[in-house]
Amino acid sequence: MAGTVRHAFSAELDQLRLQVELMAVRVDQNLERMREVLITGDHRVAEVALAADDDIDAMNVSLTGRCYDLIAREAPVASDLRFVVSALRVLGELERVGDLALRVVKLAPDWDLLRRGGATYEILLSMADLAVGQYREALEAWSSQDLGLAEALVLSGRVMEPVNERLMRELLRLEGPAAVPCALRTLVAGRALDRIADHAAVIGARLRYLLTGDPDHLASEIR
Amino acid sequence: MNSEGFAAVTNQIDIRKSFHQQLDELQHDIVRMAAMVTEAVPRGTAALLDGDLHGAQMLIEGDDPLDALALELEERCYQILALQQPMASDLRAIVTAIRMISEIERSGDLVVNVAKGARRIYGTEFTPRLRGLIGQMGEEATRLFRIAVDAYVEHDAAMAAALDDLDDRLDALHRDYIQEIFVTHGEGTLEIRAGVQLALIGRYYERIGDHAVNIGERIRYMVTGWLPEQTGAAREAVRRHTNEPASADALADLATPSVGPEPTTPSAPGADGAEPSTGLGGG
Repeated sequence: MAGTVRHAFSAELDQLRLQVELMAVRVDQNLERMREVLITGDHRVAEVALAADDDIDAMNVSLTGRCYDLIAREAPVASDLRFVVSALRVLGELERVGDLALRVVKLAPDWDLLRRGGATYEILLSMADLAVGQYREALEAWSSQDLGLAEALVLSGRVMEPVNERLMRELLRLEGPAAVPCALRTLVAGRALDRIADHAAVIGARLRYLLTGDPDHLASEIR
Repeated sequence: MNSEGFAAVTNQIDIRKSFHQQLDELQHDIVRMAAMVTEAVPRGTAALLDGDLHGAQMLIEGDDPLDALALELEERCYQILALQQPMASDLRAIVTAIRMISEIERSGDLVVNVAKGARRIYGTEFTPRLRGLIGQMGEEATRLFRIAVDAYVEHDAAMAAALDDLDDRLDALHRDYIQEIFVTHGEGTLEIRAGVQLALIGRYYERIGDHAVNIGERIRYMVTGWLPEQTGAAREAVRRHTNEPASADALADLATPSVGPEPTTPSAPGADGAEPSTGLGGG
């Protein structure tokens, strides 16, 4: 009987992992729309992304509720507890990634201004590629629960730092009356893309802690 | 009630009491941790403005105890979850604590980044206006963090909700600050390397403000059970009900400029695929 109960609980945890992955895929789709908006400035894609984010929020609320319910009902311990808490944390990270993607999407009306930055616009495009790449690695690490992938994400850590510095340098070279408005919007987009990569690394670190249970790994996530 | 039953009830009360004691201690330690960050922000600003390398070093080293405390508190949250199986509002308090710990810890890291930035631009002279703006951003970031902590201590959802609007002031200061970096750089009084570092430092202050807003959201959740995502979730539910593809809110959002004033005279070609360089020219 106890074995059956454990088995049912274990199946619930597995279901939770899949649901989190499904939400991560929805966020990934919105990241792709973000990239499209950045490349084309297409308002229709932006509208689709905004509506899709509401759907992501709905998934987050529902899954967060399920995690609390599992904690309250099953009182998980050790690695099971770590899993549920990690799922909660990953949900939070995914939701933030979704919000950050929207910050870029909401710049659609300013797309022409962004593009006038020339070199800065090109850097934004490469930052978007980097951020989406990092996020996809996090998604793969979560779906395969792969320690090696998680560790690679943590080690790649500040992959955006040099690109960010290059962006700042180019921004200061902008001239003309639209330089400051263009720079401010570029900064909003750049900061969001930088943080998307950050959140991907945090997911990697959280996963590493989940898989190893080593509190030192928790410290490296926080750092 | 027989003596055994009475003992069981007393035991239950003891466990609950011990749980609430644990929760109080946890909240007390989180406030202590947040106070460490609140106190570090003005020290970071001072190290930057005064070119104080010793002060910067102290801040960088001071981050280790903060990291250790964060780690200890998060582990303690797990223990409480495992041993006490809290329900409803008590569960929300623990989950809020877990989320707040990382927000506070990351804010501490941002202060360290300010201190490291201060070392990188050691010897740079600031114009009075830049000094003023840095000082004000530091004060705003400190104020936001303090309000977030007060809202947590008081369980004040209204105060927590106000943080989002209060953060607008820091965002506006940040915009003025970036503009001032451009002006100073354009006048030739700020070299590009220092300008880049200052722009990054400004971002650290802005992000501390963002973390304070996040903390506010978590407090609202703890007190009322409200999650910011629920607004979007409610829109989604309505959409499913009415079978509409996109909400009017979404269109309204798109029509709202995201940052700063509109450009005045962008002397550029239209959006018809022409090269995007005119008017801003690379240097």
